[in-house]
Amino acid sequence: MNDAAGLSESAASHDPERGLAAVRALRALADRLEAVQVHNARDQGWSWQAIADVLQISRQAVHQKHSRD
Amino acid sequence: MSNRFDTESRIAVAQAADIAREMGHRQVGPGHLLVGLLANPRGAAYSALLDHGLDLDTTRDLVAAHHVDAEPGPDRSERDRPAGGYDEDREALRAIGIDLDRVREAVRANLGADLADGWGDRPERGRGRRRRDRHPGHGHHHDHHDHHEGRGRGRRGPRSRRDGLRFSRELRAVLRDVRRSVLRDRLEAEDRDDARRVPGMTGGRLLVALTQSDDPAVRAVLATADSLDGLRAQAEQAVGREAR
Repeated sequence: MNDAAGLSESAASHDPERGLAAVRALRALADRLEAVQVHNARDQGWSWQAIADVLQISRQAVHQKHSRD
Repeated sequence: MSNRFDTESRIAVAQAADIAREMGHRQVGPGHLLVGLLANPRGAAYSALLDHGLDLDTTRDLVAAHHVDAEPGPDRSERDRPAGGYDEDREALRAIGIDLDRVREAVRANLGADLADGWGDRPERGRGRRRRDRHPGHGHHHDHHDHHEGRGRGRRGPRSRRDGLRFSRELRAVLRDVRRSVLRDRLEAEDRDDARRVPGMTGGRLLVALTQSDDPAVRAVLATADSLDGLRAQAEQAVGREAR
């Protein structure tokens, strides 16, 4: 892990190029982790509703995003 | 008149136009109409849609993401921006203290999946980005600008064609389907001499026609329903009740 100075420097960077890149990368990471974890939950027999409750989004939204995975 | 609108369908079409306008779309599509039906808790279509797992907010988001105006807008190229690559994102994450390779390793070890697969493919691709600017008319100076916002209240029937909003080809096909079904029912009823009991343009009929639409926004929404057949059956039952 980087030092705290490096962290704040980039995530809170005044340079939009760096700040926005951090946002984009976090979003991509969150998207992929969500797909993997939803898949994992389904494998373990979780219902769409149960997954939706934890993610705090609607059942319909979870189903729409992940039913084809 | 075979195409007389009942209260539910009139509200739904008016809502659909408002929703399209709010989303910055220039065409009212079947998707907007679906949202319009869902926005009216007193309607028959509303209960059928809710019973099959659809909610207003998600449906609205799906329509915003999937509706495409037939004529390409000037900002269309915005959608074609390149997706962020894995290596680039790894560097960006490293800068904020996240070691993507370690996360990837852990996911592989514990869950057997590769995070890098499909990296940057957003499932609800285009959502939010595809929305046009929120000021309809901007950049379209050839459009008629002499309409008055807020007028149209108390007008009979759905608002149409004002401020350059048009019904999409798909929406016109849906409305044509409905008129056809009304005519068919009327002809059948005439044989039984009770044509007056056949409902015209109703919420239930609109929903039945929507379940058969090929519109991409409608397909995206209906794909999230518990059971499309069940939904259609319930809509048809609603049409049956409207006859009484």
